[in-house]
Amino acid sequence: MFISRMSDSLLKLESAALKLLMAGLLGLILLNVVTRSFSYALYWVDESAIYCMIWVVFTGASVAIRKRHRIAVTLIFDTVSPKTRHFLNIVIDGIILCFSAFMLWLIWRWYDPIGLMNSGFDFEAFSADSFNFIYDEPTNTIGLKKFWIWLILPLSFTTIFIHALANLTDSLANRETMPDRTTIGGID
Amino acid sequence: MILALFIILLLIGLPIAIVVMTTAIGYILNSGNFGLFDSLPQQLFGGIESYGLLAIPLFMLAGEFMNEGGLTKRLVAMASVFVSGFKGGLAYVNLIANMMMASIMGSAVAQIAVMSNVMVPEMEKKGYDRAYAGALTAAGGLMSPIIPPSMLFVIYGVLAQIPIGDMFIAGVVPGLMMGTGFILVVALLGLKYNYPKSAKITLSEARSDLLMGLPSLIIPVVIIGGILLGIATPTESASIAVVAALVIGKYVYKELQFKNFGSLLFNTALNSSAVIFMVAGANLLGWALIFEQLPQTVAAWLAALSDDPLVFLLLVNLALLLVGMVIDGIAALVMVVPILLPIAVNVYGIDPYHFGVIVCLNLVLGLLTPPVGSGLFVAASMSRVPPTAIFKALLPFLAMSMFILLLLIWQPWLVTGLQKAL
Repeated sequence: MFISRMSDSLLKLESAALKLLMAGLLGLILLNVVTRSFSYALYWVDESAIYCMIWVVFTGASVAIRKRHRIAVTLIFDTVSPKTRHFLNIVIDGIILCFSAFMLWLIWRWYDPIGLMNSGFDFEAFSADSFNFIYDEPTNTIGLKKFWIWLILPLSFTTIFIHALANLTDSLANRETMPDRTTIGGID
Repeated sequence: MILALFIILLLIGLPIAIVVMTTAIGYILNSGNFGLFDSLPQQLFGGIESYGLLAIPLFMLAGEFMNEGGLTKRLVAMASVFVSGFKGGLAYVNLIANMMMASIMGSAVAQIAVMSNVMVPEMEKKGYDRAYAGALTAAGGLMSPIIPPSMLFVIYGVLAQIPIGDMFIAGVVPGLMMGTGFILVVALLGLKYNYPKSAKITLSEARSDLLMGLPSLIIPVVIIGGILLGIATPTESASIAVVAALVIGKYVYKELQFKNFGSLLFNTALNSSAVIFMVAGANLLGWALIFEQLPQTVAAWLAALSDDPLVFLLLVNLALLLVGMVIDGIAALVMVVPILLPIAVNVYGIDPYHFGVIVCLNLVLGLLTPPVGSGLFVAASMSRVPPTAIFKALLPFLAMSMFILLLLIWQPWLVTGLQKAL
């Protein structure tokens, strides 16, 4: 199935990104510790590390959807028959699909690419016309506009949408491509 | 109506993070305040834009490196030196090793998994009842989220907007109380179980175990020392612990291999993102609830029952024990704190640190209570004993934890005293 294959290639890409981001996160904090002990703190490190973590979180959340690696209440899930469980999986996949579609719609309205195009990609004109200040918000220390950092939201919710769709088509076609790794209750 | 939706979504097994986010959307739809949707994506992002949360992936990574690099088992070997020759020595070793591990790891379930693997076969070999060994290890794991560092405390600190280092300090005395309480229980149970005597080890064995364990000891010293002395933030201590674990595992014990780094990083990223994604959901829900005034409604309802903080805390306790039976640890924390914390602090004037320790300890107990208790099931599957047998052997330890919990509720200074002294 096309959508499953697409979702699986995305998964590989996301897994590689996760390792890189995680290594970057560790590196940034260590850089902070080292420079601070020489009383030469780099002012941009903390903020970069936080953004690194947030990118890890949303990318990881997307990977977890495809891997069905979910933290959920499994009280009912564990006690019902395999057939009902299969049905519940379809319902869950469907809800995640609708949720990600709704989030994508909100994010689309927020980034408003068409409105931006109509203002000729002029950020100031766009803000004045729409009272949407997304393209004005600066980061505190990095020198980038914040909307670049926020891009993880459209990226990750697009991949969540694709993964949920792939899971749903797999479930409906009765193909269990990914092991069901539902965890009980919580991690802690 | 929204509450019913919430419960249904939760029970069919939808990931908790998405349950919480969907509920937030439901509340906004219900209130008709559609303008909120314009800032919802930004709120979702902003909810986890917090320096304190960085400690979570770093502590998880330190734990992975410690297991992979052989530091964990050497700490246990070191602890056994001190109680060789005692009757029931290994039972005490279990607890002491668990207290040491608790000062490194921040998650009860992770700790129960690691320690069951190490301790239960060892105790059985020496003649202990297997269910008892599993229960003891599970009880020892309860200290993990109370003795700093603690994943639960990090998340509570972020949700409550209080310094995480101070929250860690608040956990020191309660954690030591639990350790002492459990040692007392082990001693009392000795009358019933007739523990085997632990073998005396030779002096040269003792020396080599101590020497080999010494480098691992750097990790708890770095973490606890850095935080207590206030020289490093919890996030910084965690990153130093990662490096220390890496260096010791790679160059002193020579067990850590560079080729495994990729999968260690990947596992850490996946596990920590699962936790922090829930925090993002919780913050979104908390934000939606402000406009819905749910905390105010609950507060009014509670205030009608009693205006005594003690009664409030006992009620919260009862409710959380019930919640903890179905939903565990962090998941329960992120759902409960946005509603209850404003009431505790603003209506009843309860210290946020005191409230945090009580809520966390309470939810930790839920990890070991059926029908849903991830800690209980991990202990059961690791020690290959039915969960019911472990739960039965656990009862004295749970009773002791309940007693300590009530003591902490009654005497807030047990939680806040150390902070004021430092």
